Amino acid sequence: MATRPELMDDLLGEVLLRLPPDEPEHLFRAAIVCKSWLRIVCDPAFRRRYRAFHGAPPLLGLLHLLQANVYSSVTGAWSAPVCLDDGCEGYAQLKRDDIAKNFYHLPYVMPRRVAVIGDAVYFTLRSVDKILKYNLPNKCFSMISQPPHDLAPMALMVMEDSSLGFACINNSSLCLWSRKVDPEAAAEWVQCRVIELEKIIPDVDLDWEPFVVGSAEGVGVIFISTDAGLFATELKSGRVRKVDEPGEYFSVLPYMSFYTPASVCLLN
Amino acid sequence: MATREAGKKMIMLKSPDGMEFEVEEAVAMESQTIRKMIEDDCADTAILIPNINSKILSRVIEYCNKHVPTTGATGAAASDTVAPAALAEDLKIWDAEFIKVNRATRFNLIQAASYLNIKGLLDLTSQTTIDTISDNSLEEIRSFLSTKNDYLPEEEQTIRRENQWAFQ
Repeated sequence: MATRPELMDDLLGEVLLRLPPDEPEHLFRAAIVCKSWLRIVCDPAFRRRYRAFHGAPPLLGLLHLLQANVYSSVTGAWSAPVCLDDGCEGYAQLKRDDIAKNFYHLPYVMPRRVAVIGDAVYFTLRSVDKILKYNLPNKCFSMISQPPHDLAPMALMVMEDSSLGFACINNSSLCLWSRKVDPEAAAEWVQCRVIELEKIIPDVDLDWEPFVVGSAEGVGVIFISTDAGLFATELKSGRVRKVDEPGEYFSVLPYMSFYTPASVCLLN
Repeated sequence: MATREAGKKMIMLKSPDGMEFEVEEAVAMESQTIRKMIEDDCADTAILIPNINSKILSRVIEYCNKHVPTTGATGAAASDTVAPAALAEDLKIWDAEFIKVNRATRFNLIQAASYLNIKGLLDLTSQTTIDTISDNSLEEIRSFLSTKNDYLPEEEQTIRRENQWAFQ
C-alpha cells in the first residue's frame, strides 16, 4: 500500500492557523489529535502567528466593583450584569463578620493580573482575605479562602501544574502556595516555596515591610516593592533583578506582547 | 527580458520537471513570492519554482488566472457590466469546484500556496482540513489526515476531563 499523504508540520501549522478564534474549542480538539499537533498549537511562535492572523483577541469581560459584564464574540452582545450577592456563602459570611465588627466595607477588585484556570477567572480583592472567583460557564461569582498568612498584598498566578498560585510576603520571606484541587476532597492550599528576602535582596530593610505588587503571567516572575527599590524575582532561576528605584508602588501590571515572555516591560 | 504580448508583460515560470508556463505578470503577481522577485528585478529570465511539479503548478496558475483582479485599466469594462456581488458569488462557485480534488493533490496545493504565498489559495485549501477538525470526531480527523494517535489512553482522558467544555 502506498504511504498516505501527510502534511508536514509547518504546513499543518499554516492550516491550523485558520481555526476560527471565536470557537477556541477547536484548538483543544486539534491538540488532542496527536502529540505533534499539540506541540504545534502550544508553540509560542504559533500563538504569535495566530494572533497576528486573526487580529487582537476580543474583549471578553469587564469587572467593575463586584459586578461583571461579559461580552460574547459570537452574539456581539454584552451579558446582563452579574453581581456578587448573598447567594455566595463567602460573601454573605464576610458581610456578617463586618456587620458584627460594626465596620462594613464593600470589597473591591484590585488592579492586578488575574489568573485564568480552566473555566474560572480569579481576582485579587483589596483588604479582604478572600479571592474572588468568576465561573465562566455558570456566570457566577464565588469567594475562596486565601492560604493562612498575615493580611498583606499578594499576587495570583497560574502554577506550572495549572493550579492556582498565590504569592505574598509572610514573616520576611516570599511565600508561594499552590491550590490543590481534589474532586474527592475539599481544595487546600499547599505551601510550595519559601524564599528568605534577605538572601535574594541583600540590601532590604525588613522593618520597611516589603510587599508583593504583582506577577507576570506565564513567566513565573513576582514583583516586590522594598525600601531598596522594585525587584523582579524569577521563580524558576531564582534570579532577582532590580527594575526600578524605591517608590510608591501599588500595583505593577507587567505588559507582555502576546505570548512572548522574553520581553517584559512595566506599566505602573 | 520577459516577453511582451499585446501590451501585457509576460513572465515565464518553470517547474522542476522541466515544463514552462508563460503567464501574464499580473497573474503571476497573485503570488507574493513571485511579486517580490519581480519587484526586486530577479525575474528577467524564467523563474524556477522548486518543489512544485507541473501538474500542481498548472492548477495554481489556473487559480491565479481566475482570481486576478478584474478592475484596473483592462478590467474596468468587465466590472461595469457585472455587479461585484455576482462576481464574488461566481468565484465562490468556481472555488468550490476547483477544490474538489483528492487529498494528495490538496496537500500539494497547500504546500504550493504556502511557498508561493497566495493567501486566497491557502485559505481555500486549508479550509477543507479546518472543516474536518470542526465537524468530525477525533477518530475521523486522525483517519482523514493519516495521523497516528500517540497519546496514552490515560493522557487523553486527563486532557478531556480537564477541558471538558471543548469536547461537548
